[in-house]
Amino acid sequence: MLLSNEHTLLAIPLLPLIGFALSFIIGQKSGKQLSGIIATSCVLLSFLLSCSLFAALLTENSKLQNRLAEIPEFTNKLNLAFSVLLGDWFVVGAVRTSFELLFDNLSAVMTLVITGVGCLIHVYSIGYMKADAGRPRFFAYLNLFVFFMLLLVLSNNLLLLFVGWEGVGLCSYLLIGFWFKDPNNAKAGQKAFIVNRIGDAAFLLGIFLIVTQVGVLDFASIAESVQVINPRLIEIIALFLLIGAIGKSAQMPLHIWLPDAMAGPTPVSALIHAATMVTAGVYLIARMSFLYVLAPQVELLIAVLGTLTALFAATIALTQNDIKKVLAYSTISQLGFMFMALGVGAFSVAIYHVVTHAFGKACLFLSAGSVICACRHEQDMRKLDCGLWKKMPETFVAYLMAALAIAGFPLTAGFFSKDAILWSVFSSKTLVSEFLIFDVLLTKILFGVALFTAFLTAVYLLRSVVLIFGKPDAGAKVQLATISPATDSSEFSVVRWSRTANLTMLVPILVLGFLSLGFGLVAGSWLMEFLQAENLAIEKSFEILSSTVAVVGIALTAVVYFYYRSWVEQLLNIKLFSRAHKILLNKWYVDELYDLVIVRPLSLLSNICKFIDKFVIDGLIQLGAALVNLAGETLRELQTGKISFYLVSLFVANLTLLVLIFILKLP
Amino acid sequence: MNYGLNILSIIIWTPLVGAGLLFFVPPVKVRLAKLVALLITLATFISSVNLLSFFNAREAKLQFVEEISWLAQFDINYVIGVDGISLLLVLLTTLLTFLLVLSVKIDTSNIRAYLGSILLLETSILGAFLALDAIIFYMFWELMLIPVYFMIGIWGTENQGKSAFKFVIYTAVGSLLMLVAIIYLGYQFQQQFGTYSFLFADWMKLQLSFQQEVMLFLAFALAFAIKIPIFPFHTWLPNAYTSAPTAGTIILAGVMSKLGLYGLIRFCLPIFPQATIYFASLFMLLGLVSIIYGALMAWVQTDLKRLIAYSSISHLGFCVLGYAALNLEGMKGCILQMVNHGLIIAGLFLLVEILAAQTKSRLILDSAGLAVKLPVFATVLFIFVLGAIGFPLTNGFVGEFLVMFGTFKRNYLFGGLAVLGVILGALYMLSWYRRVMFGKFSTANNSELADLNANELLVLLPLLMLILIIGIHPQPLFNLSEATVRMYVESFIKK
Repeated sequence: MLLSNEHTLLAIPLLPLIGFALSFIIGQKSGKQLSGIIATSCVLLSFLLSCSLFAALLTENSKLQNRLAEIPEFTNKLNLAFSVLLGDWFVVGAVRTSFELLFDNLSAVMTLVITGVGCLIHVYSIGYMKADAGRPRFFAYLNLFVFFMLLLVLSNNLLLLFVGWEGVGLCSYLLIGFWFKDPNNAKAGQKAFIVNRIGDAAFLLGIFLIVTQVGVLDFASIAESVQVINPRLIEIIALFLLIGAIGKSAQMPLHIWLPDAMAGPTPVSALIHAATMVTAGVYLIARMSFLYVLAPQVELLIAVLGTLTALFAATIALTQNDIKKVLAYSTISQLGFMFMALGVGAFSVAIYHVVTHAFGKACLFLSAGSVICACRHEQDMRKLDCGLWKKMPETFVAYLMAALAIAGFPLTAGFFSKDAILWSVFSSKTLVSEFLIFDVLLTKILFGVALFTAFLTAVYLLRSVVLIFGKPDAGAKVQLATISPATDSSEFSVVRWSRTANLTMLVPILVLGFLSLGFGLVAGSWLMEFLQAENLAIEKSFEILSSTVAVVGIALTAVVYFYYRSWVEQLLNIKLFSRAHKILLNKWYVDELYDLVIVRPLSLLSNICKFIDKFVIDGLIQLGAALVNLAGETLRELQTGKISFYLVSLFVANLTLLVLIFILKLP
Repeated sequence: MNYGLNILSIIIWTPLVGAGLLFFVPPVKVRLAKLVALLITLATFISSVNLLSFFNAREAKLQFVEEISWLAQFDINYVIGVDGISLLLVLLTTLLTFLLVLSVKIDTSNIRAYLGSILLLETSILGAFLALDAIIFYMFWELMLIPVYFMIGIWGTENQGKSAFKFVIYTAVGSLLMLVAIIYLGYQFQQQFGTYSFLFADWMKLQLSFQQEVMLFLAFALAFAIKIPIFPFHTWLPNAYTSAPTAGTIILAGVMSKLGLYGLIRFCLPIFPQATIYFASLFMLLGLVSIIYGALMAWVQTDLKRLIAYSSISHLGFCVLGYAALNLEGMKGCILQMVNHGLIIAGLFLLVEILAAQTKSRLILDSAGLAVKLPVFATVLFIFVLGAIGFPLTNGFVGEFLVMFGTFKRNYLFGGLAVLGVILGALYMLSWYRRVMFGKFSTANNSELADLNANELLVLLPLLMLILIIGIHPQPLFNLSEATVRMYVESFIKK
């Protein structure tokens, strides 16, 4: 051991921060290629340190378990965690905050995913951004993101977590708008930031409530004193934090920023908007699970919201034609599954799904990125080149593996985690307990919807596989020639890309593909144990049911899209279906609704304010000034300069006074 | 407690001496004039920093007190002193003035008079922050208007005459009632204790009926509310800020607005505690309205300077909110936010002015896509924007967090509404940043753009560093004012 555990823990987030500074400074001056290598090595180093710290945690833990086993009366499971205190941030009155990091089982898993997947995506980006002049900036932002994300999962108190929370939001903003010459990209970044800020504002209120109630912000202390909080307030705190989580994890109704966020470079979509940042909300709730088990009504809300979001996003994903949009809605849908698990109290299962989804979705995005590059930045699946499965076989295999995994094909990683979620929902007993029948009914409805969504997942993912890769080679050549080279992409990143995918891009895709295929079999049950999962005994018959759903969905879609494509078109000719299709294609008109209900009224209000400011508030001031002016103008008329007028005035005034005093007898 | 030197008097009067020196500089030697002003403001800044080494942060009382008898028959004396609150504001003032002088372009017309105005303004502001006698305070308070009037009127743009006139009349009229209240308080002191006194410290001993307190509080508060300004007394601000030359705008926004808040804390709170508590909810409401109203107004502005002016109203609303929360967290947040706002708004106005000078226009839509041409400018501006929207690890976050927490602790509803400011702040700030910086760059009318030069960076970097340093390690600033604020909050609020 060269470094003590504390130093290692400190170095894990600091390395990407150093990488951020270095790629910015060095990258600008000399050799733009260098920035990618610096950034990647920092994250790689951080990953290696995470692994070593993880190993240390395991050994220390097993030592502890052995020692505890010697004490027969001690049956509770205890777990070690490393922590390091850097110092106070600020201490004012009731607010005490410190820079303290914590490495326990939950943050260990998240750290490994972030640095591991992050490192692979960095490697991919070296190839992907090869020809972009803004590389130093890109890698600097990417490293900064990894820093903030690590800060988020490693922080030992809620406020430091919030720093990471806002930080990843900032990096997301910067990276979505990375190609800012297109105003739409910049707008998408801004939309993401502001929608997230709505969640953040609620998050802040949750923090305020915790401070006023408990007076501390570190997780262990909150957990200890959570019992003393009024149950009603616990529900409210849980609700506020949930709103924050909804914003970050793109759940209804704050999901609207994520599809737009696809404007960013594809590695960004893979890292930030699929694998890591969007799961921060799931992490937050899992981290605060001690609070949520005491808030059954909020738990119910999470379960319902998650299920609805999963279904809602899956229906949209069915109809989208832009590859990245399909994947974006798929991400929202999968996050919905994670929220479902959180809602029924299966926090570790949710984290399990975070891990498998990170592998799968990152792989899908990166493969999609390769495809998009290969087809001159075309993102519309209908306009892609023909026979891609033959032209980019490795990418095709990786995409297929990941798609099968997320679709829940038996024995893939996604299958295990999704199965665990479905089982948790099915066997849930933690929902509201007042009316048993209602409870059972609701659980079954949620389960039914979840199962149906799992079916839809298989359908839309396989549809994307067939549409992207399955276009037959012959016959379509003529059609291809008419396609203009994508939305003038040469404007932004000129990635002159050959069909033979270069190695830096291919290796990460394949690694992620195999992980999403095999991770569940190899390490799934171990991970669940490491996270102390709540219930593991999934009935065999249940597994058969859920795998049947997935396989049927996969097979059906594959067959229909390969051989009977005309059926789909005929289906859409039916009025009912064409109407539904239009609604889904337009994403249920949620953006339009927001525009109508929030954006326009706010704009109107601002303009009303502008009017009031000028004519009412300042108008009154001007009126006062005008009155003074008027008085002056009027009184000036009396200054005639004629002695006779003054004498007459004097006489009249005196006379009036005499009358007032002597005749009316005024005092 | 005098350390052999009248250090506070030196700090107050050095700029005035410098203004006098400028008379002896030949009009053509513009560089020499700037150098003189620069050295003077630097000396003032260094002496105020030097205060730190002698200042005892554990002591809540006023320190370095100087007393010179003046109008003895009315007991009006030149008494000055500093405590944890005014110290921070004095430091802010001397730092900002130094940086401002550094930023003054030497081709400014009649530069000696311009620099002289800045120096005179510095003297009057420092005097107002350090005065402990109400009459002295009032004199410095009104003295400020003279240089500002000339700065807006002579070096300003766009209806400068009208703006200068409106500003001076508005604030002077608002202050008249304060003068009446000051005289009344001195008279009351004579009635109760036999001798006149205009010392704030003495006035705390006064026995005032609730009705008296309310009337006097309102007289003071009106003057302060206009100076800050709080909604609805803000309408002089957009005109004055927009018309004034950069230096004037920055002193107005960065420093003079703090005088209003400082007055609320220094006078209203300890002398009229009952009335302060009575009006706390009203002030909270007005602070809240200022935050939201300022943000919405900023959102729909098309002139960059005017936009920043309204954002200033929004940010100062946070300060008012923290003050009105009347608890330790709110008050400390308020004081920190005063410093933060000074640093951030100075940077924003400087940057907007640099941009306007380059593109010959302050209209937002005129300058899209500039980040391509001005990468350094865009980066620096972005950090100031982050500070302004209260992004964590910038100073704005710590201040806003404490203000909102203090408000929340006092009143859940107001606290809950205050976080709307966080959303709206991001909305208008990022909107204008996007419109100016991002998008497709058109060379048509912006062919000769130059990024920040060394001199501009020299002015901006200290501000930028402070934004980050305070954001990461704010505790030293809290420690400086800890004892004073604690005394104020504990002894007066619980009365």
